[in-house]
Amino acid sequence: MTTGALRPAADVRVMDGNKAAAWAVLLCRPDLLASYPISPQTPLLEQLYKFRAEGRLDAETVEVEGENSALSAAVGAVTAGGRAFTATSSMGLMFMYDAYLYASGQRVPVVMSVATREQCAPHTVSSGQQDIMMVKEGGWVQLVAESCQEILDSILVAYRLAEDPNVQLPVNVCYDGYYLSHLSEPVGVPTQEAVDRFLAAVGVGKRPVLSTEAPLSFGAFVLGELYAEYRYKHCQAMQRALDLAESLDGEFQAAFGRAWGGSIEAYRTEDAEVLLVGTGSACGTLKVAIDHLRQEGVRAGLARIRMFRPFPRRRLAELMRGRRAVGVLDRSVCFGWNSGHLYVDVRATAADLEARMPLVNFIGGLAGADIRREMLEDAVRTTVARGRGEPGPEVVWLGLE
Amino acid sequence: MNRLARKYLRPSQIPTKACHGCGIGMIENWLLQAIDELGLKQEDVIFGTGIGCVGRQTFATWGGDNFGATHGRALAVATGLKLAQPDKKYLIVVGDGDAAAIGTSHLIHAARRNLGVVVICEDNMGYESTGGQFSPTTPAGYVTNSSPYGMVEPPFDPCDVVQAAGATFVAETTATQWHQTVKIVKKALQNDGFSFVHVRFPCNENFGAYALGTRDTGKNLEWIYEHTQGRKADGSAADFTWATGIKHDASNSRPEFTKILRDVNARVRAKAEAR
Ligand SMILES: Cc1ncc(C[n+]2csc(CCOP(=O)(O)OP(=O)(O)O)c2C)c(N)n1
Ligand code: SF4
Ligand SMILES: [Mg+2]
Repeated sequence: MTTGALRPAADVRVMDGNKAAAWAVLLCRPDLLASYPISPQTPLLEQLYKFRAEGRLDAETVEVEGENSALSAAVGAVTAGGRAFTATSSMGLMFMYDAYLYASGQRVPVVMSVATREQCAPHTVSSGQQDIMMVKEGGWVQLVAESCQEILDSILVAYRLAEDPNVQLPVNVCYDGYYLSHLSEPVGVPTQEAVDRFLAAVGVGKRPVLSTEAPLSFGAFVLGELYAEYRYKHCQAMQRALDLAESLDGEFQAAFGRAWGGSIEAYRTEDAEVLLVGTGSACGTLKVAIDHLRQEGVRAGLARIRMFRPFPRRRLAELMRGRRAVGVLDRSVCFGWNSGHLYVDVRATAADLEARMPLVNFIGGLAGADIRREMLEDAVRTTVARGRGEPGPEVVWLGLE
Repeated sequence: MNRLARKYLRPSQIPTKACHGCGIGMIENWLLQAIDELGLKQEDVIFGTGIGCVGRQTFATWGGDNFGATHGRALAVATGLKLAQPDKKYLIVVGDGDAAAIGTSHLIHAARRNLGVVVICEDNMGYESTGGQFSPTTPAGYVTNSSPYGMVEPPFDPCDVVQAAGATFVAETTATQWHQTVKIVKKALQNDGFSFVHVRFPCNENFGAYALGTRDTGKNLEWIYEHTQGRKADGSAADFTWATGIKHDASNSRPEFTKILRDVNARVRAKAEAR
């Protein structure tokens, strides 16, 4: 591990995911924090209000009358050249959807965390990843964390990606509600200088903003070819965000003394016969299941998607190549495909490979339902069996069938 | 279980799941009393709720037809329901967040249209189910979870807003005014138009703890009572006064919204038939 001239993590503290997010936001020195409370995101706001009250966070904090206004206010502040942060979950994310599309279409580099939660109806406040899946084609970059440390790190990365002049896109940092937002782990909190240094490449003066000296218009009315140009450039920027995410890691490691890891974490994949694919904190359990089965000689590995949008298609295809079968774990439902959302992406990625392989989807953990290690061991075994040619349903609902 | 609860509510939802000493259950009891005194039956009333303590603690308590909307949208849903079933009475029980923050636009437009529903805005002066953040009805200066140095924004009075928008019945009361509240709700239910009843009640758990420094129900109620009187127990002036009672009564003075639409339809149909 390379440690550059800067000190590595100055401080290891025990904190939950919402606190880890709040620490990251504090260190990124935003100008505006706009918010509306919703579980399980609220303790993050509480921590930020606390930082503000203690005089540590020098940001305007505004509690608006609904999420649409929260994101819109953040968009306004960023458009004027500031750095803004907002956070939400579930119905709050849905309630800001038009502002969400505005932010990405206008290439406003705002950062928003999502403590993921199931969608109503039926009404629930439990954990799930349906909310972020409902907005996945909204033109934002979406990072999904597995641990509290990764939440903190991902927010640092998020500002770096968002504000990069070659990217200039809004970024979501997503983490599982309750499992991460409310559970505590040791988290290395970097020093302010290290974060300042890491973010020095971006910030005020490095991108177009509203100003009286050089007036600009945001939110233009556009037709036909010019509209297509907007979309084309947006797609290109998404791909540059993916490239930057892969290449940023050296810098991240130099600044903080640990890796962030890029778009995908490959876990025990070198000699794996079957590959599992997942995203978020359930991958922790999946890793334990894999370790356990490896003791029995089952050669399984995991590709954990850390950057969900833009989708790391090339890197995933490399990891899938040559496996006997691929199993995908989803904590959300894609109604149109009668499967999970990640599964649809993995199927699409499989088309990039020369050889076909059996694919199987496991749906579980909806509305906070437990995903136990034994369930995932069964899932890995099922994947192995499919690799040997055993028939079975394409989509397996964990705990339902 | 009391007589009214047995008559009108779902046994599985009793007792209320609200915190000890919370005003939500008490106010619902008063609503039942008003319904009962008007001789209304379960099937006469549709009960709608929003999201929050007020919304979720009253959701599905009503033994008749009822619905729970998303946060702030109860009145939008009620607009469609009232159009489909114009002869029912509608009790829309929402929090201050539902009514006066995220759902304010629906509130204003339902009042403007004179939609025939009764809105019971149970106001605990904050977003209490999310932990006690300030809302647009939190008195200025008061400490909440999200205003550690006191609420710096000026609040507004939802009664003023709906009255200006065209509501035909507007009243304010509190959890310390049992008989007045029952009387007001009865009048509200007799208006064939938009009725708005604003009921302040104490949230001991959050507002009480943050703003008043106590979770004691009696002390929280006393604080509310003092502000209805403009005077504290020791005789000194309270920091502000809530004027309670009926604030605007133009009941049945202009056509109810769904009636306007039905009349238009009838006119158009008659014209088409004449041709
Ligand atoms: C669109 C949306 N945003 C946020 C929330 C989270 N939320 C649930 S209840 C609530 C506040 C409720 O306040 P109020 O209406 O005053 O009800 P109370 O809990 O105080 O009774 C919020 C913000 C939500 N459910 N939906
Ligand atoms: S948190 Fe407050 S408003 Fe909610 S149920 Fe408890 S006392 Fe009532
Ligand atoms: Mg409230």
